[in-house]
Amino acid sequence: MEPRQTGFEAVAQALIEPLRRYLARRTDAATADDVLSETLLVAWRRRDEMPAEPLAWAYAVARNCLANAERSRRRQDRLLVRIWQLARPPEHTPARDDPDPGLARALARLSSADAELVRLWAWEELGPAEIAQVVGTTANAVSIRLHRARRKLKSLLDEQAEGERP
Amino acid sequence: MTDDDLRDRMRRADPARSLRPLPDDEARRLVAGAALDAPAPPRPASRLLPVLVGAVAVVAVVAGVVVLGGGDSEQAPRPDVALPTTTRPGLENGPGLPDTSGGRPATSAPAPPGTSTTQAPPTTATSSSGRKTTVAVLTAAPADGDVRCRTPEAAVLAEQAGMAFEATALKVEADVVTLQVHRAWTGEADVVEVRNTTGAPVLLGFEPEAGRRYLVAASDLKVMGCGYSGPDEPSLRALYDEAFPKR
Repeated sequence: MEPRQTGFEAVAQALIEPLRRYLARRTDAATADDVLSETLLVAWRRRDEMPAEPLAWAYAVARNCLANAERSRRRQDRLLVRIWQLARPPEHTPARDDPDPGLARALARLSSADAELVRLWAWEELGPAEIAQVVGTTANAVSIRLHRARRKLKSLLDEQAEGERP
Repeated sequence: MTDDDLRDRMRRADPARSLRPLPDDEARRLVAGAALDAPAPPRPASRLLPVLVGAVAVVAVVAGVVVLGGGDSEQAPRPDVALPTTTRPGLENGPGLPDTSGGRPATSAPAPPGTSTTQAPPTTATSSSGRKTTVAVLTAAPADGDVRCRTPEAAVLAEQAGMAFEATALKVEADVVTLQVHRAWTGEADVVEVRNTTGAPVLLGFEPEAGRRYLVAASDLKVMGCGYSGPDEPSLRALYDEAFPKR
């Protein structure tokens, strides 16, 4: 086995769990499986570009793969609706229990870009420089936007708390 | 609320908190698949499946009543279950079709103004062998871009499909596609004739291919879409095998 492949395999093994969590937080399980495979494939093809600290780079690859998958699905859905008689769907999938609906509502009121910064900060535990690598901007811009996004999110949560007080 | 408080609350709501680690051999398989430059095959309930439906959508809308031959291997569909034989009004809404509810309680979608919703009744023909074939008719679909499908589930397929079979498209003529059934997991048929009266836009992007093999599920003579029917692929076949284990 060539040394490079051995190196890639070791690195990729270490990336799998963080990537699975990243995808599980952002899409359904089946799409997450598909996108994980695709992400590893893209990572393999671009392994020469992989930095010594590959996590943020791998998140960026996964982010692009997920965006492609979502675009593709939207196209398919648009096409399907032209083909199929719209129908009553199977009533078998209850919505996943959300442990904190208030937080979900508040996040939904942020712009999608700002909400993603907060997720990358809280869930992936990335710093501004790493977040910048994932979303393709500068660390400085991330710092400013993340600060504002957190402030707005806290404000929304405070509003909720005020509204729930008797 | 401090940043730490916010982060703690976010972490408590982390959707990945309950995610169990992938077994080592599965992780190795994934990485090995990537290093071979070939992504690991998707699971049976893959989200990619809905695209497969499109191809069969043209082909599909169903009916067929007759007798079925063979079916004898471990994975073979069962030949011994009766197909619904009642003739019913043509196709309307079937299970497993696009989910336009956005998670809300589902309702039937009305046809758009100007679209004919008249459903031609199925016709019953007698083949040279004396077997009857019922032909169902597809009506036009409303155009709505905000549609998504749920992941196909074997339990839903098992519960709702009155017919589930593998068939090859024999003939493609304008709006009629004839399918030769080889085996059925459930239901009985040897010929399925599909008539599509929706007009050209409905066929957009998909061409039924004579000679290509499909797996088709139907409930009450209505084809199940959204990943429940499509070209014969291992993942779709696995879904059928799971839904209809050998009894």
